[in-house]
Amino acid sequence: MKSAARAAAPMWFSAGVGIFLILINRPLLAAWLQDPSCQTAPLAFLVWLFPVAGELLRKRLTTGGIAWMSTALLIGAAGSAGELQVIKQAALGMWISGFLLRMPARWIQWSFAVSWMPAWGWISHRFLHIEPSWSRPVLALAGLVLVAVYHRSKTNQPVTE
Amino acid sequence: MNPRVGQLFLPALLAFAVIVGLFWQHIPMVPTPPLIEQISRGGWRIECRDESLAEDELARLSGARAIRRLYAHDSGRWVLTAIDGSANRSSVHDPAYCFLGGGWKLVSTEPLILENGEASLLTLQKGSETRQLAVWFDDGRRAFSSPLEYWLKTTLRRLSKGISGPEPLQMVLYADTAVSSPDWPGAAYGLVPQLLTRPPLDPTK
Repeated sequence: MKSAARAAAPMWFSAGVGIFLILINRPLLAAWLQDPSCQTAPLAFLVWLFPVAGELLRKRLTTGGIAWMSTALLIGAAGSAGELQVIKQAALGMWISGFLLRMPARWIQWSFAVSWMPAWGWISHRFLHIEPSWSRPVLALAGLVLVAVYHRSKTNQPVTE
Repeated sequence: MNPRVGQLFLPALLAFAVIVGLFWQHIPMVPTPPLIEQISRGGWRIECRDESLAEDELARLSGARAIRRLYAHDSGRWVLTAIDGSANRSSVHDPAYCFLGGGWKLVSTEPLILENGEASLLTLQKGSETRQLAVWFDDGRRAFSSPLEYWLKTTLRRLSKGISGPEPLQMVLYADTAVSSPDWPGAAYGLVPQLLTRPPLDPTK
């Protein structure tokens, strides 16, 4: 039995969360345009969006679970109050990932959202010693492949979340 | 979910998050004297002179306050740049990362022990030029070198509206002249403790 928290969120709620998260993430666009380490971030974002676009084309897009969307909303609010961009961007990534039907696919999709975040420039250089310019699209592509493989393995199984 | 709960809870949650997310940052902070105003202009066996920041540096700070001072001390001549990110925290970066944008290559990172904590001693190289920088954050009581700790402290400060403590400063110290081996221990124990006027220690703690 589905718990109340996992029930599908009403469309108006998911839309409201999205509008709020897009509003508080306006600096992301400026970072993409100005930060040299973000040159390939828009490309990574487009690649990263593929699974959600695929679900849209197959008319399997959901409005997300209430718990998932509420968590994205609260993370975004905390990031905005604490003025920490990476938290706000994580909330935006969580909101978009919430449109995927299956819970594990959402988690995979969300974890690869870091590919288009400005913070990846710092993480890749500081800890992995790799260039963000090529690693961003590669990371987004890796996420896309993982979600696709997961979906393929579950194609004939009913959704149990 | 109970329809009544859905009808009441979700709009209330959305309204709460929007109010907190959009308006919290406009609530004034608890007034505390900015640490950047406590950077000393001299001290025991120290001479000090203000230096101005370059136009492109000021542009990059976009609203954040910064000062640059040149100190002459027994350990040598040093340049200190202190940045207060209260007005724009995005202007404070991890120096080990942001210098790479200027064509520098990070050769090594070592800890530099200070009287009240720890700094990172970075060795950078560009072509045949080598430069060492000591970088740390200072919250008025303790020096620390972790950017993650800086982001955590500054986020808590914004969430608590300043109750958690003052905005830590980012401090960058380097030798003024091309000295092959700057006297870092001399600077760490002779100059750095005098850079910031600290509150007297509470004997009860």
